[in-house]
Amino acid sequence: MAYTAVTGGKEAIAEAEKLTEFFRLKDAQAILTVGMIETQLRLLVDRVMGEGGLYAPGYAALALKQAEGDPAEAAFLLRAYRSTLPRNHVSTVIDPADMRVLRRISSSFRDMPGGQVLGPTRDYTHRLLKFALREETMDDAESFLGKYREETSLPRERPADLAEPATDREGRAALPAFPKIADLLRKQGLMKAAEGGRAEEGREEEPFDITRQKLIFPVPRSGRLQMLARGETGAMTALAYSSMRGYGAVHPTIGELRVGYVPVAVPYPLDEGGARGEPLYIGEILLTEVETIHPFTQNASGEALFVPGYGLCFGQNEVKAISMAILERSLETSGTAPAQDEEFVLLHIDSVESNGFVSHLKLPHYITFQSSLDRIRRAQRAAGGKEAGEGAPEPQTGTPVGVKTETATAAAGKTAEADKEALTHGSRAD
Amino acid sequence: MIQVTEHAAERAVPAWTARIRADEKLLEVRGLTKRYGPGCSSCHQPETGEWHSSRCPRCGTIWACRSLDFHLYPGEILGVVGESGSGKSTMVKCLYFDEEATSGEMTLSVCPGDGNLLQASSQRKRYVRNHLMGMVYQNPYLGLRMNFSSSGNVAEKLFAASQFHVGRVRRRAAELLERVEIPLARMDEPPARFSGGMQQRVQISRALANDPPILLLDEVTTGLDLSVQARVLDLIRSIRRELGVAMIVVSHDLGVIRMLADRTMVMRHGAIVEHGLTDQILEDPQHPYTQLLVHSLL
Amino acid sequence: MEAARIEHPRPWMNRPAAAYNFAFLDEGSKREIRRKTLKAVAIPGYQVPFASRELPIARGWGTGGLQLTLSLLGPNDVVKVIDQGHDDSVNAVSIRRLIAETSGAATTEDTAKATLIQSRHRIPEERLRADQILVLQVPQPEPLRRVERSERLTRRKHAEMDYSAMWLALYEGIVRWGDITLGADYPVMVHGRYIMAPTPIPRWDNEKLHQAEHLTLFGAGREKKIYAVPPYTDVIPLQFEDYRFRKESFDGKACRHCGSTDTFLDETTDEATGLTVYQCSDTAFCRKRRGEELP
Repeated sequence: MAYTAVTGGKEAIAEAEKLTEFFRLKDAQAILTVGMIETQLRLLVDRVMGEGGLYAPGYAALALKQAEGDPAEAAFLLRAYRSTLPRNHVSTVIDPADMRVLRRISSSFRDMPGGQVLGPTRDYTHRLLKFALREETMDDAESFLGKYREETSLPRERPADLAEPATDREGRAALPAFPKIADLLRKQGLMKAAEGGRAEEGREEEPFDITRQKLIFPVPRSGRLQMLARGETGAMTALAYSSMRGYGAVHPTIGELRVGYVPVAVPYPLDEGGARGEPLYIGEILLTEVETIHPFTQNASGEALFVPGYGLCFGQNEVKAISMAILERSLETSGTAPAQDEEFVLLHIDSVESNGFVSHLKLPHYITFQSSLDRIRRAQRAAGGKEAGEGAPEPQTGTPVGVKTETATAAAGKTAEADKEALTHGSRAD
Repeated sequence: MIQVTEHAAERAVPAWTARIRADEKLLEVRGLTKRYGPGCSSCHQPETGEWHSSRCPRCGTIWACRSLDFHLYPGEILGVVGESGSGKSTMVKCLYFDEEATSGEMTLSVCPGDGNLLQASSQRKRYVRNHLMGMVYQNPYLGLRMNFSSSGNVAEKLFAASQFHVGRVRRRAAELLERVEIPLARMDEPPARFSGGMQQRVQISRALANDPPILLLDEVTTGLDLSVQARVLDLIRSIRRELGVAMIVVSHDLGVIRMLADRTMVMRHGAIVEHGLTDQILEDPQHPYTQLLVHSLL
Repeated sequence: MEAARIEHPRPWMNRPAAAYNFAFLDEGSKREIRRKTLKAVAIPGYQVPFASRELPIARGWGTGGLQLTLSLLGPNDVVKVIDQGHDDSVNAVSIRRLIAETSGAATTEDTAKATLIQSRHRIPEERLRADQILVLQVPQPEPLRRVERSERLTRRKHAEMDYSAMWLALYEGIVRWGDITLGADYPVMVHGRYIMAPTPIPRWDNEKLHQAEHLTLFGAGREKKIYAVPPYTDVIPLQFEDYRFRKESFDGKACRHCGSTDTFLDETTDEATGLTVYQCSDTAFCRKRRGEELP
C-alpha cells in the first residue's frame, strides 16, 4: 500500500480553483444572471435562505450561482457570510397573524373564517414533464403575464417586491381576514395556551440564541425551534417521516398552513431607555408557518386539551415547516425512537455541520490509518504466537482460562469498525 | 480498599467488615417518599390512611412511595412483597439512586459521617453504588452490557474501584463467575448469548464484584422457568451463607419471599401495610390485603 | 509567501470586498473565545463549551483550531500550519492562506521560528518552547464517545469521574486481541482528573504533551468545545499495571531522506523500485536535518 506524502499543495489548489471555474463556464450558452436565479428558481432560493439562516434572496441567488446549484454549498456560503455581519438591531417579535397571506389551508377544518386559499402550489398538478418549457421565450412569458393580470385585475407594472399586492397598504381592509386557527381553538379552551409570547402578556423571556451560546442538553424550547428553523430540509423530512411511519408517536393533522409576507419592525433606535415609541417598520419577509394539532392530553388539572406543534421557516418551504412541527412535538414525547431523541435530532439536521463532517473524510487520515496498521500487525503477530503460549493472562484459579483464540486471518478480517460497533452499543449498565 | 492477592482463599475481608456490628442496623430508611407530579392540598399529607390507588384523584400526582420507614440488619434478608404499582420497585430504585427520592432519609452504618445519603453529592452516591450496594435488575438489559464480555461486565465494577491490573481483575472475575456457576470457558462470552437464568447469575456476580455489604434484588427470578428460578434462589441463599451479605429482595411472588426472606414487608399503593417475621406474616396475616395475598398462594 | 502590494498599512484591508476585521473574526467573538480558552487552561483536560463561529472553511475541516489561532493571533506572530506533519498538505496550505490573507501575519515552515503552530494529527518532532503555543484540530473532543453516545451522559461521567466504561473498552481489546487495540487518539488522563482525547495524533506523540514547556490548546469547531493542557502538566495515557501503553514501533526502519530512526515515519512506495520505504512524517524537521534552509 502506498502512502505518498502530498506535496505541491499550493499549486494543486490553484489549479483546482481554475478547473472548477472552467467547469462552471465551459458549456454556458448564455450567462445565468443572479436575477434569473432569484426570480425563476425562487423555491431553491427559499430553501437556501432557510438552511443558511439568512433572509437575503439576492445573496442566496448569488450563492447558488457560485455553487453551481449545490444547495448545501450555497447554504454554507450564506452561513459563513452571515457570521461576518455585525448585528445592529433586533426586531420586535413578529406576528404571523398579521401575515399578508398568499396561501392558507387547513386539513383539520373544512371551513373556517377566511376559507381555504390554495395559492401558488403544485400540490394538485399532475407531475408530467412539460417539454414545451424547453422552447419558452420572454414573449411567451409576457403574453401569459399580460393576460393573467387582466383577468385578475392586477396592476400592470411589476412592483419592487415579487408578490403582487392586490391593494396598497391603506386598502388592506379589502382583503379577507385570516384569523389564526390556533387562536380560535385557544379561545374555545380546546388548545394548550402558548408558552410565553402573546398568550401570556407581560412575561417575556429572552430566547436562547444558538449563534451566541452553545447548546447544552436538555435544550430550552426556543433553542430547539431555532435549530429546527435552519435545519436541512431533507434531514428533517426523513426524521419526520420516520415519526409518522411508526418510529415514533406523532401523526397529527395540520391545523393551519400559511405562506405569506409578515411585516418586520425594529424598536425606534433613538429611544432613550424607558418609553418605547412606535417600532419602525423595515420591510416584510416571506414565511411559511405550520401549526399542527396533536391528540389531546390531560394537563395538571385533568382537562383534555389539544397539543400544538409549531413550524416556521423562511420563504415557501412547506415540507420543511410541516416536518419542523412534527419534530417539535416528537421531541416533547419520550420514547426510544430516533425522532424522540433530542440529541439525535438537533445535532444531525444542520446542513453545514453534517456536510462538513461527512466531507472531512476526504482529508488525509494517514496517521490514524498508520496507527491502526501498527495495531493490526501486532495483533497478527500475537495470534501467530498463540500456539507458543502467548496471549492474555490466565487467572490462576486452577483452571486454565485462555483468551478466545482466533486465527490470524480471522483476526485481520475483524475491522476496527466492528469493534467500535460493539462498544457504542453497550447498554445503560452501571 | 479491597486487596486482591494471589490466592482466592487468602483474600482479605472488605474494610467495612470491621465497622459492622451484628446488633446495629446496617441500613436505616425514614420517611422515604417518591412523588411524580406537583402534589396538591388534598394529597399533601400522604403518610396517613389507606388509599384506593397511588394516584391523587384531584391533581393526578402519583405517590409511588409514601413515607416509608424500614431498616436492615447485617446479613439478613428483607423481603418486600406487593403487586404491580405497589411502589416496591420504585423504593429500591431510590435506594440505589436510579431515581431521585422526593424526600426522606437513608443512612448506612458503614459510613456514619455521610448522614442522609439521599442528599449526598453525586460523587458520594457513585461511591456508594460502586462499593457499598449491589443491584440486580429484573431486566438483565438494565444491569448488564450485553455486547461486552461477561468478565468485562464484572471487571467494570472493579475498574470503578480503581483496580487497574488486568491479571488480578480477571482472576477476581473468574472467581465470581465460577461462584455463580458460569462455566469458566464462557467467561469471555457476551451475556447476549446466555439464557435468562445465566444472565441473572452474571448480574449477581457483577453486583458482588466489590464485596458490598448490601445487595438489592428487584424481581430477579420473575419470568424465569421454575427450575431455573430454583437454581438462582439457591445461589442467593448460599451467597448469604458464605459472604454474610444483607439483602433486600423485592418480589410479587410470596413463594420467593418465603424461600429467602427473614423478615418481610407488604406494600400497597405506595405504603407499607404490614411487616414482621416472614413466618408470622405467612401463617397469621393481620392486614386484609396481606390475607388476600397469602390466601392466593397456590 | 507572495509580496503584497500594500496601499493600506493593514494588508488585509486592500481586499476588494474589504469588510473583514483583522484575522477575520470580529473582536467580540475573539474575546469570547479567549475567555473560554482561559477557562480551559485553568481546568486542564476539561472540555469548555463555546459558541463556535462559522468560517469560510467547512465544519470538520479545522474550524475549531482556526478559531483559536485567529483569536490569539497578533500582528507580530509567526504561524506554522501542518497536516499529517506536512506543511505542504493541501489542507494546511488552504488554512495557512486564510490566516495570512485575513491578518497579514508572517508564516513559516520552520518549527523553531513559529510562535503559533496549528496542526492536524501530529505534534512536531522539535521540542517546543515556553514561548510557543500549539493548537491542535479536534474531530471528536469527547474521549468517552466510544462508549457512550449521549452528550448529556458523558458530561455527567466527567463530573463524577465515572470512567469505568473507558477502562472496560481497553479491557475488551485485551481480552479479544491480547493487547490494547486503540491506535491514534489514544485517551490520556490529564492532571490526574480528566480523561481527554489528545486528537488523532499517533501514540508516538502522546508523550510530547506530558510535562511540556509549551501550552497546548485543542479546538473542536463542529462539536463546539475548547480544552487545554497547560505547561508542566501530567498527561498519562491510560494503561493497566500489567498492560502498558506502547508507542508505534519503527524497529529496523529509517527515513530514506535523512536516515532518522527516532521520528514518526510515513510508509510509502518507491516509484522506481516498487519497494516499501519510509520517510519522516514531519517533513520540515526532515529537511532541517538534511541542512536545508526553511522558509
